[in-house]
Amino acid sequence: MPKNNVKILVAVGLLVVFGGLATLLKPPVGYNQGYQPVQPIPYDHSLHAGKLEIPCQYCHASVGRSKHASVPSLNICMNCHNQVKATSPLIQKLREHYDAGESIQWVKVHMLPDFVHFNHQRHVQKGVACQTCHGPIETMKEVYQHSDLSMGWCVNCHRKPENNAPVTCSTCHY
Amino acid sequence: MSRMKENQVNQRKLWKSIEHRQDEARFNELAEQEFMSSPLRSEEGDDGVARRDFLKLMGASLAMSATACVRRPVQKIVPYAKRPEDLTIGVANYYASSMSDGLSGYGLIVKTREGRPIKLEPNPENPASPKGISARAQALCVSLYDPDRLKQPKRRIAKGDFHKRIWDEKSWDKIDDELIKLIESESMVLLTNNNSSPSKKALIKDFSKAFKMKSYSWNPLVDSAASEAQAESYGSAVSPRYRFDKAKFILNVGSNFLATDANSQEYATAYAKSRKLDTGMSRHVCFESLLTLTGMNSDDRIRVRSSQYVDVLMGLAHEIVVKQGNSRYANNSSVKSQLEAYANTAANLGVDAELFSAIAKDLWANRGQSIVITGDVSATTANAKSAHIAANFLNSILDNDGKTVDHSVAPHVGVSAKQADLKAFISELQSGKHKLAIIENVNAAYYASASKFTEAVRAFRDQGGTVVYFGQYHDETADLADMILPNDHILESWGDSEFHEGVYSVQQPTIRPLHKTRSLEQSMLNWAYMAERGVSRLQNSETYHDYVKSFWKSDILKGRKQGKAFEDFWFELLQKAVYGETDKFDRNASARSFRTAALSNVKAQRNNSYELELYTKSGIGDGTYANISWLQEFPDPVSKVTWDNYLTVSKATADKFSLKEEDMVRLTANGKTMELPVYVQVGQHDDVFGLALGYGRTKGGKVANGVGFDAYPFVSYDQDGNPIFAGIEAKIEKIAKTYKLANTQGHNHMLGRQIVIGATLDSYKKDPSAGIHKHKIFSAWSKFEYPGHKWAMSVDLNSCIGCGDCVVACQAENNIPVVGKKYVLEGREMHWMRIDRYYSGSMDNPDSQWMPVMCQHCDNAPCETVCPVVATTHSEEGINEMTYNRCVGTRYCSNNCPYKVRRFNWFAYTKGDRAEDTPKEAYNPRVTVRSRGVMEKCTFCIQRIKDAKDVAKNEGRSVRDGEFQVACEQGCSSGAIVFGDMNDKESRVSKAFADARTYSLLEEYNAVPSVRYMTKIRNAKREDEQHGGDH
Repeated sequence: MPKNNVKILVAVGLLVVFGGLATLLKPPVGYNQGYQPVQPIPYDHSLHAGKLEIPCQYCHASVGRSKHASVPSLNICMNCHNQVKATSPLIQKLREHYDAGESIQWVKVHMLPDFVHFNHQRHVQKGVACQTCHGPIETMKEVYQHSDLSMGWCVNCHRKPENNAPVTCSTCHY
Repeated sequence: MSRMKENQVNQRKLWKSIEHRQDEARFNELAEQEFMSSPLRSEEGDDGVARRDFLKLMGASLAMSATACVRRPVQKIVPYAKRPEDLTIGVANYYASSMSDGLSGYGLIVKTREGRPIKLEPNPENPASPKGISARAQALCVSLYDPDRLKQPKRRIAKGDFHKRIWDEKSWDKIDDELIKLIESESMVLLTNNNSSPSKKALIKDFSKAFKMKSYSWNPLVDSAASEAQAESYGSAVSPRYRFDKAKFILNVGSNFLATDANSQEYATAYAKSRKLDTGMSRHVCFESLLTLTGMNSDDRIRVRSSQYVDVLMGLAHEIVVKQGNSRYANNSSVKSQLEAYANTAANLGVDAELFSAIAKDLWANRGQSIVITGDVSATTANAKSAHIAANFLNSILDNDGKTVDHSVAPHVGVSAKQADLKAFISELQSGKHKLAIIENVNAAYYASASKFTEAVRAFRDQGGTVVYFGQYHDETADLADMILPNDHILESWGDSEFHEGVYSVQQPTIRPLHKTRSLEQSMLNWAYMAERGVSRLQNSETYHDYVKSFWKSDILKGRKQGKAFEDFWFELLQKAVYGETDKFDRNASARSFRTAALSNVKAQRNNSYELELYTKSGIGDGTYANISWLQEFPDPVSKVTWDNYLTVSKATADKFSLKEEDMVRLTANGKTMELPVYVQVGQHDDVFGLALGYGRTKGGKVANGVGFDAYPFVSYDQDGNPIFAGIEAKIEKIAKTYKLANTQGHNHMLGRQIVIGATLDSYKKDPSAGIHKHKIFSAWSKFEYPGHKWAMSVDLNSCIGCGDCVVACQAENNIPVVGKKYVLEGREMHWMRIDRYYSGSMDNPDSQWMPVMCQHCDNAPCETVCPVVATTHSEEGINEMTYNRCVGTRYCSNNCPYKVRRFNWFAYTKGDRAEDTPKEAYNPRVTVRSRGVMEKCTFCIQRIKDAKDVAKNEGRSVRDGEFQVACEQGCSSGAIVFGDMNDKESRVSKAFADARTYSLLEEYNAVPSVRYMTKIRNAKREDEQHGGDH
């Protein structure tokens, strides 16, 4: 074996050992539970959904019709904010974007990998409450990820007999 | 017949290729091996990273990644500022539309997601072709996103500047400013591609009246000989519609009506109907020179040269009228004397005289219910018109005209293109009368490189003329122009068409133009507005949309009562996209009387040398869409070769010149010489060579350039400007070079006994399950329970014509990558479906059979038991699931699959860094895009099943039979594929499974597939290929 290869092997071996140790000492890789990024506009769910009791589906309009709940387009915001709090600086920012036809780039909180096909429609039509997965969303000033959204977490619910939910792989993976 | 004798001598009755038949070592080696190319090689890939080095690097980077990175990368959600009213994120919208690709027209349903068109599907409202659209039409969707498209107008710099730059990008305003001066004052000439749009025809007429413009319309493949022959035979130049659905006997003399005819989609549907066993199967006899898809579907096939088609047709007329003394011409002495020259046709052509006279008798016996058809690119000899007249004559002898040949609801009434128009356009350029020439969407510098077109355009420019080219690419013709103006894509623009007389269809845009493109139509309206000239609808239509609407209101709806306001009518029209006398569609016109004077123009051509026949492939066609990688990788239905054209040579001739596949020859024809690779094509006439048009582009785009060889230089033109594509004298000599052809047929071989099953009609009548060999199976498996749905598919091999449209439909639906020629050569093509082609009988003239093979979704799936990571599992609805994220790429599953339907991603083919990669915008968001190292295969379009179930569940019911279609089923014009729930006893698939012709592929393995096949029946005398019975 040439010398170079021995060096590489030793280097790789060391990296694996240290890498392994570092991994063991850290929380599970990949789950984003508790993730609470800063949003461009600090939209307050506790005010809209909690205090004002605006139904979730007013803004997340496609949640019962599509796989995506959909973050509302600005015209939905402007339905009310044309009148309500129109002078607040944050609403002014919203208004500027809306008038310019430029969207707001929200930071995605709940991220499923591309190979998972989660369907909001099916769950909402079945009567699963938003809070079951998203937690006490009506109390959140800024949204964070409540559940870990791991596969085990999904399956735990799906395999409860009372839920009568499918657990075959192609339920989500195809 | 000799075929039978050979069958007995030959041990292997069914064979996929010559190597297979001859049991060559290479074939068996490949068949035994699961993966054609081993990954354990010293070097790999373009990057030159050897596998072992790669593993080292991977190991290191894995360790590195484990030590860092807990969070996932930040992603953004960007909602609409103003969401369009009818759009739901995550739900597809469908728009009814239509389109025309050169000569063929299609009704369309355009599927869009978040405003992006991602798939083209057939429009069931279109009476002509409610089922299936061609591979080419489906692939047109990707060309919308082609990065090679023209994005902005370009103007040639007068003398080329310091940097030798030739082209300058200009805004449309600048272009208009320059052009309008010419348009207002000078005389101009326009050349368009075939134009089947009534609105566009009216627009060109309006514009020509307002300005000094002459217009011509030309398409390289338009069959002018057919319409001219109609005019000579019957008085008016129509293209009749052949009613294959009503035919009991089809005589096809060199017409490839199932694959390359302008009306192929309709014909395929109607043909499959006439081949149904329950309504009495038709008989199809074919005379042809090359082996074509249509010939392969025939019951009896007789090899003649293209130049002999006239002899065949006139010989049969002689047989019926003179020898057998039938028909109203039997006492017509002048007709009889004209036929006398063809008295010894059978002997002259070397055709079995008994068979020849039997065909004539069958024709007469089926008069009024038979069809005689000729005409194709490969039949366009110097005397193509004679062949058409002879065919018309036979149809009149047999009283088919007015019954199976219908001239009233003629297809492509809209065809404006004429071969003579190119010649006329060239002489207009040379006349010196014009200062401006506009060429739209016709790449004549490439199609007609053998004509004087290029020369004439150059001379025109040298004399101070301005040449304007409207197109989508900077192609061969664009390169000659002064201005290159980007045209809209079909999916970006308004339009309409009249595919069949009285049946109109509208084309609506489904996306705004992606680039700074503008159509010729819109440009004409702008110019008329600027010049303040022309009738009011020309001057005052702001957009072409307005023009189309006002044309429909004033012309198409003229004299027809709608009972509602025009805007309401238009709104309703856009839901269906089809309007007109669709009920008339099934009616037939009366017979016309044949003008026997036309017979005096019938001339036969007799060649003794070898002949070159140019032909078109159903994927690439004339070469306009050669930059669509899907079409390049689409295996040719006949040869199964991808990414190339080649000289096809019969087996006997190949032996004579000691040629085998991958050898090269020097072909000389028409005074031109070219070095070409050889493909040994069994079933081809020994004295002809075939070469496909549409390849060898030099300015077609990054995908098209350099693929294959340009055959257009071999075309010549007669004095009327009609092209000669066939019967060209040619000679070949072998040269000491080789060339690799990426042929998929040897790949994914199933080593088994009972694969494709066929029987003759006679044995089918005695025993409907003829040919199927039943096995007594002892099963070690306990049966799966399927309490709800059990999805299953039936493939009727008797309806399947082998066209492969399903392959492209599957590719579009399921994000199937294109791997490129290099990897097809290594057996790494990714198509989830393949159409296996089997030959039986002699190599001179074998019978052919097709078998579409996709994942069989076995109940006892061999793949599932061997996966070490449980990435492939069984669902309770009978689907063999593939979980990409679990897959670690051991490839055991593929090794253990007896049907060889699993595909492995050897590389990341979806990154978009290669020219042949599908543009990301064209992907279907409902299906995961697979990455390197992952196994994949047919999923039974599980996303469509899920969507249908969602709809049903929301409505509180279960999914109905036929409520949704899987992609291949939807793409199938012949209706061979049926998908459904076999737990539902009333479903179409359950009924098909109950048919005696149904069998399971490789039943003896006891895999119990959910895909089942129905035997192929041949309406001919043969020794049966398989034994039935059981053991």
